[in-house]
Amino acid sequence: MILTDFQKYAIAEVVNIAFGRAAASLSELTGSRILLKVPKVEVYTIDQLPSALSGILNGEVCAAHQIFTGQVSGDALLILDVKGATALTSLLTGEEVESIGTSAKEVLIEVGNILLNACLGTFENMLQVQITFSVPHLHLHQLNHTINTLRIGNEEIKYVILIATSFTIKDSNIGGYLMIVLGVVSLDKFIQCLNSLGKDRLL
Amino acid sequence: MEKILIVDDSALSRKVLTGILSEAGFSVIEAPDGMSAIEKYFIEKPDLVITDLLMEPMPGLEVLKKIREMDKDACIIVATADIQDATKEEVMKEGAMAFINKPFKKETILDAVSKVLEGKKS
Amino acid sequence: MENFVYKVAILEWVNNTFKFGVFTTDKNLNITSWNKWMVVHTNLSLSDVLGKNIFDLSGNLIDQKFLRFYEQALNGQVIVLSHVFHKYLISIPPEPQFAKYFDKMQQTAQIAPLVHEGKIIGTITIIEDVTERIVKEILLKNEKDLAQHYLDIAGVIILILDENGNIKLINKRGCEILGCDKQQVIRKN
Repeated sequence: MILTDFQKYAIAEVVNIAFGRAAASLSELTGSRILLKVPKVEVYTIDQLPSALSGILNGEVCAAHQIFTGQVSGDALLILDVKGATALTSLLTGEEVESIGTSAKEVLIEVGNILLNACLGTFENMLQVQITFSVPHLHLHQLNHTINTLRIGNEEIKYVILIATSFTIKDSNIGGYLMIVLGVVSLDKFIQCLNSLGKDRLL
Repeated sequence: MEKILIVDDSALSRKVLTGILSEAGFSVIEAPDGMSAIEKYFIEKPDLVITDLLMEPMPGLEVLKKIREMDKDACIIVATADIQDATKEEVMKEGAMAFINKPFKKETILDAVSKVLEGKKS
Repeated sequence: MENFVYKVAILEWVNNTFKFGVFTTDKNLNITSWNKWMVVHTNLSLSDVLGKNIFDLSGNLIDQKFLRFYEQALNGQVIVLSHVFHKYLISIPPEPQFAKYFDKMQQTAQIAPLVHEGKIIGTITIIEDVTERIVKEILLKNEKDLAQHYLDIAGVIILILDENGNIKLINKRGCEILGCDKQQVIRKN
């Protein structure tokens, strides 16, 4: 199942709007101006994901993970490599963070929560779908382990909408990925809602 | 017929805006990035520019500055998903005539366009 | 019936034994439950708070600035409030042994919608006292900073190597003598 260019533009624009809100929330929280960019949207099957990310995300990664259910259901994750996660925590808190301790994990969970809530909430509003969110969790594992946890549960083929993003805070740039993991049925519903974007809901 | 230049790297945003503005009787030109926006401004001399901010390689703020350098009377509206106050202040300081947050309603954009164009005439 | 009994037993446990603060509200943010942890730490009994708006509790217990988070929860979102950014949700003093470090208990909180038969009927808030952990982090950092200070004022090169002979730590004087940046030598053999 491949997204058309229009559908990719639509996702990128919805995420752009969501990130505008998330940036404002993070800015209010930290007192710093924050820029969130949405460079690229791609779709992969979950089996294709490790090779798509190899060379980009290596070793251990930090993943803020939220499950969502409703008319569209799946998993949403914000993934950063450990170096990026420590740098982001340092920039947001104004304190030098050398490793991902408990307090740093809390920061990443809250930042992930803000971004994922903004995205899923904006999808919910703009695509007119009802979604319920779970409590977010932070995983600190090798990338393949994190991807494998998304396969657990059922045999349904899963697709991943992979959105590369970057944070600019105080002139420092940190890259990360937003992943929305959907089964076939949810992806189909999601695409139907995307196709009606621009007719009733304006960008 | 007044001419409006839309600058946005999102084809969807450009399509939606073009639809609204054409229906309202404006002639619309599109630019998918900053460089082509500046070229088109120079050639087409639109009455108004509506630009996004988060674009690469040339951000919308840069587009705003360069167009204002070429034409100090240029009328520019910024339409962006970035809702931070600091962004709005920066954009207005550089000479934008209106700042609209995405997603916006049809009435919001038409209202802003009509106010800016009326201001230009007077 | 048996299922119901287990659910009641779980609720009783959360109410009386749970080590986190838990309270619930209706859709108007009026309190509908208040567990034992909340009673003990706020000095407000269930009868003192039941039916009252969370922003009208005595002592300005919850600041109005948190209203937008409760509104988000009523819209279906789960909110995480880290002590790093917010310090606390409920304005209460810390345990006495930590009073010299903080005048308020440091907390991490979660606010979530309370859902019944697919409809949001209110909110649930869970509060964790993280003061002890933060105090330990501060004390550990102070120890580390002091140790680093002693390393930095030493007039000799001090190196710490791992079992493979890779440099794990080098002091300031070491960098000066060797004419290099710390980052250039760390993890090198």
